[in-house]
Amino acid sequence: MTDRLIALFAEELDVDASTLSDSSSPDTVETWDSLAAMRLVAALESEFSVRLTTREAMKMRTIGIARAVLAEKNVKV
Amino acid sequence: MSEASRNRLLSRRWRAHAKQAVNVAPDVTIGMAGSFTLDSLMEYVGGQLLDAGMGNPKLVAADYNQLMTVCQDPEGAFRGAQPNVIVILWRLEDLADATKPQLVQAALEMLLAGVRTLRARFAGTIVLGLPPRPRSPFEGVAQFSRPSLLQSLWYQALSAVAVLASELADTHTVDIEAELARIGNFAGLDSRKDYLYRQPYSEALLFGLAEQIVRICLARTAAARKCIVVDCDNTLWGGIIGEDGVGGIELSDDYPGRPFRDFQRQLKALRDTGIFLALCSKNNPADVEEVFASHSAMVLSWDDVSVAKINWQPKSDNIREIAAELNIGLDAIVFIDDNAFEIEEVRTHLPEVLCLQLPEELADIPASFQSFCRAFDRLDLTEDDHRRVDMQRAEVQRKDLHQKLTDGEFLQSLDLVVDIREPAAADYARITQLINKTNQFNVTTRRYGLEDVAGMVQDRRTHVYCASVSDRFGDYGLVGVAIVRDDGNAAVFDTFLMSCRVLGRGVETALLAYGVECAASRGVHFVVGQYLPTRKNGMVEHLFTRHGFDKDEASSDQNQIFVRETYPIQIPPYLTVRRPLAATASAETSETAA
Repeated sequence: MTDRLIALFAEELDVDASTLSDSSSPDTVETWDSLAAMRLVAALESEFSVRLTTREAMKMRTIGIARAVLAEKNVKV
Repeated sequence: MSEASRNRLLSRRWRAHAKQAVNVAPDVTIGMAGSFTLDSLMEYVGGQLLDAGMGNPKLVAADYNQLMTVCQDPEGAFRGAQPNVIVILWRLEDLADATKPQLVQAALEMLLAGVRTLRARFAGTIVLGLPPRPRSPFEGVAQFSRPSLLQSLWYQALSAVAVLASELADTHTVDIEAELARIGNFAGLDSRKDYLYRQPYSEALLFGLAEQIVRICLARTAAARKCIVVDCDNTLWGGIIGEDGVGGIELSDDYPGRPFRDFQRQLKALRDTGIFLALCSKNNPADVEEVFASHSAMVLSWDDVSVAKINWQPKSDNIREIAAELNIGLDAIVFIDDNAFEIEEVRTHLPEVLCLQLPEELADIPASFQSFCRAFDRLDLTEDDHRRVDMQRAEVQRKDLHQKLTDGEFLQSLDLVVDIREPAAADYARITQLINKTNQFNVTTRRYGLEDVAGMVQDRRTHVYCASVSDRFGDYGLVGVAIVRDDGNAAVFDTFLMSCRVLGRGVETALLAYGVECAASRGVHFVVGQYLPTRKNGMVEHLFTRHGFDKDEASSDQNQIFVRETYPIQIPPYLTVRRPLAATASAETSETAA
């Protein structure tokens, strides 16, 4: 089964899911620019029905951190 | 699919498109400038244009908050991309330090002046944002019981922008505040994004704002639909006239008749902007006519209907005949019916016709038609658009008369009146429209924008004349334009064109005669005509020789020059020409040639 979070990042970053892992970050993914970061926040919020604070949004420098932030909101992915 | 996933899918579609190197010319190039971050908005604009069937729309962003640069130097601000449309979105509170309203006011005035400059330097469509209500964090902090200076400034700014947009040619507005009113501030504003990315709005709001922008971009070029064919029973009114009778159908200002009455009001509003209305109903003609004649709640009158096909033939056949009678293409027709079978029959046989099946829920009929009305979007309506339907009715009456008479008798009986004058400012839009769409009766096919026309009217060495025509059946409107430039001892017809509505009426002779007469009164000895052949303007090949011009030796096939001395041109006896005296070009006189 594909990882929902990875799949979502792949869609918003316009890359193949197989190239992503929890350690992926703006430093390793070329398309992860500030515009993509903005898109990712909107996508995470609508996909998982959560609301992210600005501090959380700024903190999500890797997919792994995003997973942890979601876990704090009782979203397990 | 949720709205959010739809939005994400659309912006993905745009990103995929934008990544490809497409080797065709763009359908449209849109330059966007904003006082806030526009990246998401641009993805939605691009995605929606693709959805609407555009093959290669192109979007270019100006640097963040560089509105004045865009106004002063559009070419440079968009790095040479040469947009056809420039969109400027802004918030009052972004123009200057929002705690100092005097500064904001000065910046506002500068921006509005800047848009005027842009209009002079940029030939395409301008889309100007109406500023949203200021939501600066300083609002109401120290003062709450009356509008702050910034709020008052907002009221002024709204009307200033509206006035500006109505004064400038091809300048249109989009309204963020209206979008916020539609989806709600809670859903539309996002302070987190404002502080993180300087994008104060939610994705949902930007999607809606993109729709407003896209609607304008599409209306620029789309061939707008010209005729609505409507069914009658359960469409113009509730119930079935053949069974319920005039007294039994639903049409009133209370439920269940009110939605139908509102639908008729919508149709009437479209009809008044020059959209033809036709009926196509399986009924006894007498029954339908009786409703139009005697039902007190009818909004539409029989005069609003250009063609009525009330019979038991397949609707696709009727629609074909309607198109032929109105002399329009099937792709200019929309068809509205409550019955799925009829919609399917028309869709199958006439795929060019755009169909709307009215919703079963009566209360949804007006709203459903309202969103459907985009098919009729046109950007600038001229006085002539508003009169088109009446003009078509007069044309039908003229044809009837012509069939009974010889050509000479017919022309004599029309009581044709040609009004020639120098254009007033109110004529510029129509003149520009004629200059840009007349292909057949047009000797040089030179195209000019509204600013050019205004400039030529002001210029003392250029003379612009326009002709309006009417006859006993009605008004043809402003149909002829001549532009004459003085060049030493000669007056040169830079432009001479006429709408095909008045072909064969001798109107061109009256207009040409006036141009020659004015040249003579200025002491000019020669008039020069020019014919630049195109694939479409063969009908004016002999215009000048018919009026006593001689072909000049310097002519080539592609650039034919004609010369004539300024003795008067004979005007056909059946024409009444009203024009200012050539010598003064101010006093008005009336002349009927014997």
